[in-house]
Amino acid sequence: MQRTVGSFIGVLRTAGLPVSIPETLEAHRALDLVGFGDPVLLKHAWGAVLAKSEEEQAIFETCFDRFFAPPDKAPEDGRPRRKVEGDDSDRPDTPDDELMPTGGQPFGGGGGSGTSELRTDAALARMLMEGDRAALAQAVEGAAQAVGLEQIRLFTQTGRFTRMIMEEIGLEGLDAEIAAQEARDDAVGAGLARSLRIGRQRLFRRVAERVERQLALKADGESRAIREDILTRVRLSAVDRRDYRMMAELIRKMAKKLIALHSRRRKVTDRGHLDLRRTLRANVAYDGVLMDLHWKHRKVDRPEIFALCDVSGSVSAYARFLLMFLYSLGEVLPKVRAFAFTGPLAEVTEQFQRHEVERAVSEVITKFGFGSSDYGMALDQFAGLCMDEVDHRSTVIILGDARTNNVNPRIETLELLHRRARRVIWLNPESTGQWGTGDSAMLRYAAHCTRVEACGSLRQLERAVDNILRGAG
Amino acid sequence: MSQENAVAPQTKAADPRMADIPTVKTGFEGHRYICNDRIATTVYLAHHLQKPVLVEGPPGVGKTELALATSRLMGLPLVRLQCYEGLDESKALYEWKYGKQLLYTQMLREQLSEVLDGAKGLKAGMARLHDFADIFFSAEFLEARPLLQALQQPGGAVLLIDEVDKSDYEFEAYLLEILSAYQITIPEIGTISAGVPPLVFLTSNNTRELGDALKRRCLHLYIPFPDAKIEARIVEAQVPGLSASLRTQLVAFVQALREADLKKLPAISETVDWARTLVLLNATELNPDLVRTTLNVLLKFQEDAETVEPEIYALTQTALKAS
Repeated sequence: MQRTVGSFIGVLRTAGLPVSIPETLEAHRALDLVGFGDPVLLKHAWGAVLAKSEEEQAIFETCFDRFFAPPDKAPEDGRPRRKVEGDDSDRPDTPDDELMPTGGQPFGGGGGSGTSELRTDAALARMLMEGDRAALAQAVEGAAQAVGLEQIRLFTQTGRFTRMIMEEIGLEGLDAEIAAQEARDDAVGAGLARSLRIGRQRLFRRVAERVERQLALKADGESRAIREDILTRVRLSAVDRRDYRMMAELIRKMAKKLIALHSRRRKVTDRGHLDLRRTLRANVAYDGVLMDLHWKHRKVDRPEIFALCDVSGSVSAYARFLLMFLYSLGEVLPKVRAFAFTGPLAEVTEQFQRHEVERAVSEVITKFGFGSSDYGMALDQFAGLCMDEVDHRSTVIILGDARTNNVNPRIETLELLHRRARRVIWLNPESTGQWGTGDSAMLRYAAHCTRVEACGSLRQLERAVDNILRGAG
Repeated sequence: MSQENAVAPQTKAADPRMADIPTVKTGFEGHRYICNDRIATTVYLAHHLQKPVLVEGPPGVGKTELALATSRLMGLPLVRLQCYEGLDESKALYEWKYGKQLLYTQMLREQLSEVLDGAKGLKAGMARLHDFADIFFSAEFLEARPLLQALQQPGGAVLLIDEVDKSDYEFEAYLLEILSAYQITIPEIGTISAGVPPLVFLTSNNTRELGDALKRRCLHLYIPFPDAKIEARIVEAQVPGLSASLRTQLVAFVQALREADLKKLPAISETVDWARTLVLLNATELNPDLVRTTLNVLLKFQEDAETVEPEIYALTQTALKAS
């Protein structure tokens, strides 16, 4: 029992749920309360104890269903079915009854009992011939544990583990038995050998399935961690479409981490409400005469962020992630206004608030994306929309490659913005070597930015934003 | 952990209202709170494991109502703390009675000569002062705020910490001690722990991601919009005056409305309000005009109303078919 709970929690952990030790204990106590009897009830109870958000709940439920899915039908009914030879009425009622040598044609076709023809030491062969599924399932499980199947990590290991389990069950004996039967060189021997071969094949398939199930349970999480690590390093333009969802999660995680790290700076000001408690405490020494004053009001540093994201053709490979990043920023910081532009510029803050990330991002891209960019026009339009609201508290972030397509970059607008705003930050997905080449106005813009950073990969993006926020204090 | 385990069994396990999950469910129904198995299971576990429950879900699905219903079911007083930005410990945990403390120091000064009477030299005077009982920081000058109040209820209480996501990140840290050990440490006095641990509900609308430390201490419960069957039963319990056929139509309409692309989807509270409105208007059946005139009960944004406007006829027809 304890072992089952333990390995289930192991599965949850590799799937990405950070289950702590107290939670494990809670799971045990919850189990004591509701019992194993009703799986739905147990699922609800453990769901409440172990999953701490909607997403975690979804992960939990998949894991639960996979883990507690009836693995084999055989052990369930408890009574191993023995095959009575030649009796067609006793054919197994489940059609997926793979391990039974086909019931219609009893081995050897003759009158004698098939199993009695086998050599006595071949236990596996006997099990196969008798179709003792409960015993077989048990043998497979036992062998799986003996070879340490729980340690499987990568799908390339499936072949090796299948082989190891087969050998553990007694593949060698079975092969020897088949050879021996064939060597007998009579009808009974040939028939037995044929049935055994079929059984052997089916057993192989069943073991392979068992291994794959274990892989699906456990290794998903492990290989995921490896993939995540790769994803943070690969260039944003090279990320595969199938990894988008994972990328979105990673970006979100990153934004959350950065914000948690940097948002907690508070400054105590010297005006506002009197903090009586602190004041009194400080002034007890002065006989209750208030000499040393303390104030309640703490100024929380909440920067207002205006973020402009280029979604034109030249950065189309990056735009999706830059937008995702913007989206996550909006989720964790209260005052983020997001804009998207190619030439014309539009505010997308509302799209971001209304829809979930994937939908919002694709909507913005289809609506505004893929033209050729005109930074001059975009900056002018932004200035027209928001110049009045940009002040000494504001941070303006521009995400884009600064490729102007040889139209007027309107450097002076950026200069004006730079003068009004607290900071202007430019994140460029191109690597530094490419700045200023061709139609890139990056170097000219850079003169009017507080900071310019390259953000080609997720890791670079993280570092860049970390630097920015650090500078904020 | 061992401490927590030790408190659990004797005091509460015997409570018949929390005997098993179906009992909890029917108990809630008796108090006009219709819930699904998941909710009942979580409340049952919260009671027996003595863990707080973090309730999440869209606005208006009955998160706060769950705490109210639990307090009615258990016959325990409800202590409620509404969170907001800037909420701090002096409003949530405890505060000193400054005025009285100041008076006390003045009284003390007047009595000083009596206390020091006959003491010779500074040393003896100090010794006298140390012997003198000091109650400047003591429970008598302590003003209990909701969290401390909940711990002090003699028979236990239901503590509702509403919209915890609205509070600041720092405030979560104050909650941690209460949520895991049901105690509050006051630096000047010491630790005050609950005689009977309260049953704690925290609600969140997810305007901000809560800290992991807080989440780990809680059972998590997500209440989604209910399905048609449960919603019909909720309306039945809340608005008994509504005819069965109209109830079915109304619920079918709202359920269909939730499929639409709206800024704010109508929640249970809106459904119930609408049902009350229809009772007031003596309606017997849904029709497009009736829906159009009462739509503002369901939809709280003008742009949502405009989105739905052209669909009203079709939606009403489908709803009528449902009954």
